[in-house]
Amino acid sequence: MSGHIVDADASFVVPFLLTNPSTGAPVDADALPPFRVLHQDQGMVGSGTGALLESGAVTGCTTAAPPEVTSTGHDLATGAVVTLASVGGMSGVDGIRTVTVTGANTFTLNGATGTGAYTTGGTWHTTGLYGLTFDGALLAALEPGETYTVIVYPVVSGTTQAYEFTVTVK
Amino acid sequence: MFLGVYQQGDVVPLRVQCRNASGGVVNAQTAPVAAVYGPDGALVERALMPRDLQGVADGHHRYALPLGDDYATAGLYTVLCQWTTTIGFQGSRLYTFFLQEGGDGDGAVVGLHCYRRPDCTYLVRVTESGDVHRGRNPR
Repeated sequence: MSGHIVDADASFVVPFLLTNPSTGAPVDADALPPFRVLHQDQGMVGSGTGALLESGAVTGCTTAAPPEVTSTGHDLATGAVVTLASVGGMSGVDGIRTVTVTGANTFTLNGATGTGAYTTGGTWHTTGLYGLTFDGALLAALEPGETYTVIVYPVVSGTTQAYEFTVTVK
Repeated sequence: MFLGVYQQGDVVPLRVQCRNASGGVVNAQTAPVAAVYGPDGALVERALMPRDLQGVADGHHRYALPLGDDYATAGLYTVLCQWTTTIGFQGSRLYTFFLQEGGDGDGAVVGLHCYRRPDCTYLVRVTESGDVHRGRNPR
């Protein structure tokens, strides 16, 4: 079980990377994963729901091979692995893709072939990476010097899984 | 994996060994990407991890992450390393480190000299980044 050191003076985000247990490849959960925070003596001190740590909107996509996606100010780098979803009017684009950056607002999808004509919509996010935000009542429940166990319950292909790690408050 | 506690001006050694779907060590198609996220979850920077030429096996990459001026906020930082193999397998590793208060984006002072003048005294210091700073004795 891995652990992190955190500072509870202000709200913070603890990362959670969801991977395939067999291959180690990053995967997405069916929905944003819930999590619980437990203390050895106090029991459950809080809970929350993870959020995508990094995402962006798709505003265009070409039918070239590979297809070129437009996403304003994406901040990606060549080799980044992202999941594309709901790119309107296109097939062969949605899914987990490795990108090659071609500009500040554009990138291509390695190995993909897009068909159809882009209409509207679409998003991308870093595959399998979620942020667990500690703020409000959850943040207030943390005490300096204490160690807490965080259990994340992602649902992958209909099956609920459980992952745990610790956070120690500085 | 938690990498430890650092201060601004330190260098965080990042290492990754690229593996395929069956756990075998392989070379990545391109240099792995290390994405760094701050305590608030916002992207700080992305960097490519060059091949570790001193490594004894394939698939080793490393990057010395300098904690410069972009790392002014203390807290938990996240590093996500991603790679893609030649057959298209996409792997990733997650690291975190804690940045505590103190330090300087220029790095530590590696040289210091006091110049005495009739009117005032100057301290001249050199930091790890190579910059030379002059400070005046506050007395």
